[in-house]
Amino acid sequence: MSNTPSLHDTVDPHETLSRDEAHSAHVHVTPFWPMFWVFAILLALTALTVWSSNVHGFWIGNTEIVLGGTVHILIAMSIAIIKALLVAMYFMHLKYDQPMNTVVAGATVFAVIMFIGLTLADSATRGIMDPMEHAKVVEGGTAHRAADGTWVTGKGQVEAARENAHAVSTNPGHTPAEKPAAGH
Amino acid sequence: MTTLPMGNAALDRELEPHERYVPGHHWRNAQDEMEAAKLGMWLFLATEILLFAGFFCAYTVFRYWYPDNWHAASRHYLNWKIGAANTVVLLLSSFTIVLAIRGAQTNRKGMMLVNLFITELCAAFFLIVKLGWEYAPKWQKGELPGANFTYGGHTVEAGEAAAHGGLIDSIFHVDHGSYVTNAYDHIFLSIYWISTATHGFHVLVGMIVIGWAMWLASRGHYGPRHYTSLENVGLYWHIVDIIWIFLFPLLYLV
Repeated sequence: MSNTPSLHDTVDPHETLSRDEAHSAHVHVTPFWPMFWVFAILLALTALTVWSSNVHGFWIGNTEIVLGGTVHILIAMSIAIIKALLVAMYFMHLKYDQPMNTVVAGATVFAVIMFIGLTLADSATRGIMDPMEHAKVVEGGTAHRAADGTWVTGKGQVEAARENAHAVSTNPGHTPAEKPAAGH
Repeated sequence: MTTLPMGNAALDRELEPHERYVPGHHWRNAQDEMEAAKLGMWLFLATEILLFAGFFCAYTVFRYWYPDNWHAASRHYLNWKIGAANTVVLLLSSFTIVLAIRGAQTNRKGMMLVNLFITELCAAFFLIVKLGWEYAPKWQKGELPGANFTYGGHTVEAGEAAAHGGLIDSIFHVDHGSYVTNAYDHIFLSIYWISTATHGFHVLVGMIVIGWAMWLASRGHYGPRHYTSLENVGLYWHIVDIIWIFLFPLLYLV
């Protein structure tokens, strides 16, 4: 970029760009209005997210379409992904950058999808794959095997501790429950 | 290497630092140096995204297990109006830091400083709202993570709510009403606290580095030929914004 001849310009180990090419290399100047419109769209999408979270269903003719919690999450996340893409492409100028930055960002997103996707695939199907592990692992603390050999669903340790603490505070004479013995 | 560039022989002022800037001797030119710095910044941002991915993963699993509890806890403990106000402020700050970089690219120091200052104000607004109107009342009411959760079973009366929430209640009309705690409220609040506190810490770090960029800008270190660290501060700030774009609907709107 310097107009001053210098050592590192004349001794170019790569020999891929002549000095003139290096000087005319494209440097993107951030434009005002496109960025302003991206900002405006981001605000509009935020409003859309808030509004959509309060739409619990709508009617098409005589048919009511009910939007449950999972649908709301999917809608909100779709909008959030569009917003994140706008920020990354325009504000973080991936659109104008060397493609390598986009490769890094894309690889990261892929890793996040693997991370959350595989974890959810595990926790969501654990009961189907192995009911015994489901009772032991998911419920934590007090799950146990009953006298008839079946596994009894127990409470999480924090939950059990809270219930005990609450019972003691509201009923001073209360003795905290013990962890049930096997066969209880 | 601090000689005048050719063609500026008539210049009768001292050159600003950004005009005198020379890339490190191991770089072919300043653009190569900046591209490499940006790639390094993107690799750092990748680790940041993966850090928050842990919180998002925990969120996803517990939301899958306890969807109704999640909905009730989100509606009761969090006020979407506060979250929405902070979202707007962060989006605005992202836009202004883009304009600050435009100021550097077009050699307009005033534009750069004004926009960095607005960004700083937005970040301060975000943190003050977060600490003063979310964390402090939550701390007082015992809406704390995990085993520290002491809110249990307590029904907040209307008058009491006003005393707790104070000014923000009168602005945002928080309706505490009566609420019976659910079994997994403390887990929702654990994820709320760890993810927003980590994000808030990033906002604080952002304020420090933006302040540093303002100091460098005021001393003439950024101009069309050199604004690498300003660019990287901007990239960092946008990632903080993107993370909030996901946190806001997940925590406040489910």
